[in-house]
Amino acid sequence: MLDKTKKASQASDGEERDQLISNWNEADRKIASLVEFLVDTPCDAFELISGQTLSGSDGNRTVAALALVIPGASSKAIKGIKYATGYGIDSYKNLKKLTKGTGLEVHHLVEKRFASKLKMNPNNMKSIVVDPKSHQGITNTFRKAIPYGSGTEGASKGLIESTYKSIYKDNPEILKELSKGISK
Amino acid sequence: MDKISRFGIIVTKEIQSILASYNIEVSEGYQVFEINEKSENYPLIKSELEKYEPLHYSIAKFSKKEIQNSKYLKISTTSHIGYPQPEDDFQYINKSFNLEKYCDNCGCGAVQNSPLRLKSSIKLRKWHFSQFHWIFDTLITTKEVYGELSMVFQLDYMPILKYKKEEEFENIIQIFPTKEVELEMEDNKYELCPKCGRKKYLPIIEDFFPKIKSDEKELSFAYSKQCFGGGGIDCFKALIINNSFYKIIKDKKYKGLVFKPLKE
Repeated sequence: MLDKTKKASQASDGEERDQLISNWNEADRKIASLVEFLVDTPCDAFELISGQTLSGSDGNRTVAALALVIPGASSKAIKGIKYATGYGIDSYKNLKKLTKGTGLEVHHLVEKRFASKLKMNPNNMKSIVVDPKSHQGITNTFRKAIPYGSGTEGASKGLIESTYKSIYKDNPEILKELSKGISK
Repeated sequence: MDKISRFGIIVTKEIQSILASYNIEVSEGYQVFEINEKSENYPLIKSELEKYEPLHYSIAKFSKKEIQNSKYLKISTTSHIGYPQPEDDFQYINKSFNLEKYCDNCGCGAVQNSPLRLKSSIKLRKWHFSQFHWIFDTLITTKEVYGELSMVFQLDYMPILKYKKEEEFENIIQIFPTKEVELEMEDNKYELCPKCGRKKYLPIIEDFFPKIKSDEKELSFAYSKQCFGGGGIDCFKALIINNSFYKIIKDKKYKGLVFKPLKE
């Protein structure tokens, strides 16, 4: 993987880089997108994890090597909620397995506290992979929109739907997935 | 009572300047803010924000005086302690409830007949009252609070078990009212379950809570006969207290409850 990432990061033009990346397998892409996600967060976040080993069902890979892949990622303007797109949007249960031991967290796109109101098994609810800081940020956003306690009690299906639609407005890919169903 | 509009919106520079023209200062990014619907700018702000499709809903806010003087109050908690276990696919329902009259479509009819379970790793924060997620008519308190309240009011309790260990939590218990009261629901919206035919009222967040049908003398802590819920399998009875119960909670400075006055 290190060779692949070096070649890709050293490629002089975008076309050559895209060609090299197109030969990656699914596991390479997942890790690369994870790094893209991480380097898009403040630089400290990258330095902190630099050299740490990410382990998952795809094996162990080092972040430091992979960070070479997307040198310009931090300048890319990303709107909406940031998450590790390489893991995709999957059930909570599946993402939990994939991220075991990575230090990353899995966020229910529609918070687990609403599961009974939506009649959804929380383990099957669609989720994304985020870093702990971002996870806290999304949780705080939901909490402001529908406060804990009496807010959760008073929430109807319609209110929950309007809430996630407004929160993920800049993440059309998330809204598209949710429009197909909240559970996998 | 004031009606408050709560807006949730991804604030751009454009939206920021609209709001600034009404003296509402918000940062960029997703923001939630509230506007009193009595405010003269409210209709203008509402109409200007409409095209951005914000989250927008109304809630009732009651004055201290309205709460203090209310004969009866509906209580909710400010926090939820954790999820009832086993939580996968709501299996706790099979563990802790009698399901003879249960409807798996609307969630109504389950009668708790054994203790609820909570992960033993749960961190108990500083509160006097809390609740389980998903079961909005549970009320959890400390043994000390139960001791104080049970000297004055009639209430039952059940232990809470540590999941898998099946040992009782030392400090916390679940408390129950011993009575039920009928509410005058008037034109409150409800859903009829297509499977069992039961009526479930939508939660009331924009108004006073419905009044009690007939005044009962000894009523200090009760469940409503009617059930409420948000559309899934959440089906709960309202927890209602009288003013004496409220006063004790306030005098003792017990934390963790929110009060909504009943209509009179």
